[in-house]
Amino acid sequence: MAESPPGSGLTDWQRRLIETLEQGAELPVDTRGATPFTLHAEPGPGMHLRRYAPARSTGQRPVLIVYSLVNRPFILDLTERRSLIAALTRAGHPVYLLDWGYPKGADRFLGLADYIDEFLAAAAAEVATSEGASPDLLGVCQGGVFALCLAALQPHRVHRLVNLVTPVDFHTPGDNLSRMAQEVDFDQATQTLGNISAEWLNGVFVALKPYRLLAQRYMDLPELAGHPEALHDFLRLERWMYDSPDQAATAFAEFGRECYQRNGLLRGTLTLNGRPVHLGNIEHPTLNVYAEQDHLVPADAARALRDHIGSTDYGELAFPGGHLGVFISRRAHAELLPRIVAWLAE
Amino acid sequence: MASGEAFDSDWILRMSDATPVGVLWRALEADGGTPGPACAAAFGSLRAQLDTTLAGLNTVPGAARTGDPPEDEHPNWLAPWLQTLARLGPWQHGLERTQGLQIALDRYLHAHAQCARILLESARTGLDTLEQHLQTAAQDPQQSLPESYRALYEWWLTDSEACYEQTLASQQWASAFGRLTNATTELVGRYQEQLDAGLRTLDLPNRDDFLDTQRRLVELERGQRRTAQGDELAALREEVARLREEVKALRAERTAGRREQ
Repeated sequence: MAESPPGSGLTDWQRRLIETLEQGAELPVDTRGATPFTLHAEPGPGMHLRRYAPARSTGQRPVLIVYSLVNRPFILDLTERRSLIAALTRAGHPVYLLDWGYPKGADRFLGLADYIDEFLAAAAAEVATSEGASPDLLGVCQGGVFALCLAALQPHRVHRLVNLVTPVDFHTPGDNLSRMAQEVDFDQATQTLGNISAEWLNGVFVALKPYRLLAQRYMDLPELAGHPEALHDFLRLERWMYDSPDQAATAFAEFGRECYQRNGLLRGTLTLNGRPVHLGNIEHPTLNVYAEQDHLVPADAARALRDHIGSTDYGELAFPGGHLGVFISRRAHAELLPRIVAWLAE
Repeated sequence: MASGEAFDSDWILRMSDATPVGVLWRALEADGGTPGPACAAAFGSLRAQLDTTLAGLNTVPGAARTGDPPEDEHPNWLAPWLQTLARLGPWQHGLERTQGLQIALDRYLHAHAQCARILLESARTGLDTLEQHLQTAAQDPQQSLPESYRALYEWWLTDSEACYEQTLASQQWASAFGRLTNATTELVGRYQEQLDAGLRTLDLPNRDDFLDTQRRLVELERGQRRTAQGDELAALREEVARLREEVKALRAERTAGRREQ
């Protein structure tokens, strides 16, 4: 076995750790994202519709990004090099992003119908009015579920759909998150706790991969010394992982109960304002993108859309990676995003 | 510095003597790199620590059982006596609330102990798997043993995570997690009841009052939005959007026509 001289590593390891900590302290942690935008409208309380101008005028249709309520959307615009939003603006699309904001106390009474049938619908209408064309919806994770619901209930608001890592079947065998949710009394939890705190929810997500997220992730931090770009990326991702809004109580309970426990999106039992959401009503051209090693949205959970959507113009892209890899990995930016951009340009 | 090099420095090794992998690494070093008596003793010691913690959990009333605890932990004959006594006299509401809080606390402690036990058993299985893994590698000339603390750490991480994943995928864990979540929220709810009652006595606004106000506010805003959506203005905006789309399509057709000519 290799023997290291006693004390020889002390100085080096400490020096690198100190360097990393000092360099990290100098780096800004901006959660706005890398691409400039303007605030276009306020579709709901504390929400903002952002507009990212196209880099060149090509007459491309606007894209409305519908992000999940669970995290902040700057993962889509993490750095200039790794930005889904920048890839779309470079292709000439006016890009809109519905920033759900951070729910406040009274927002506990906002349900899925408010979020989808009203705020998202209002955002889509606003884009259509401003751009003269109904937008293509790009739904991310839970946001993809919202996009599907809007397309099913208000089809005229949507031109086409792109879903990224979006669960449709919440009862697939490998879905540990769903399994953990089955016996939770969501109504009791939200009536008692009000808006569900980000810390509590982050705890649940970390509990799905505690060894990787807590035991392994920080071990090689000293080795980022002298690599400011890598350290900056690391810190930005770190901030994104835990910069989570609280969850509006009513919407959270409805999503947990109707989607995770009753599988209502797949079974057609999910209702918004009394109207059932039938995936069979969706006839828009649809591109469904899923990750093959996704521990949050198993590939089967996303692929289920193919058997239930009404559209005859349906395509899939499988990405060989995990949930986050779809947004931030080099491979996704080199191989996956160009295919999504090409599909949108058709 | 190569990946993992900093991790093997002498300083971090000394710091890690207090961790399970640090203990195992020292034992592996003492055995000359191949698992032997020192490793066996180290694994035994770590297992004993986990067993001691597990034994401590079993002192929580009813923690050794699975499923929900009974309504309370008192003998069957005593429970109705206490329930009836709590309904007597001028302080019966307060007594009933306190009794409910006590039951919720028992249920929470029970659920917490059950979850902790499942996780400790998973950690114990992870240790068994790692020991087996090391022994198998030692007997197979095709396989190499970990030659650094970092390499051993990776083995521990991979084996422990695999065991944890099995736990996570089990119905036993899903049930225990659900019970703990529900017991926690029930306990919080019982504390809220107590606090609300105290504030009400002092004529101070309590949680119920805040929620009532917030609910009315949200309903008011919702009504306003729906009224606005029904306005003629909204209809006109949509008409304009549709017309713009038609104009855009016509222009595109005209451009295509020119190209064909």
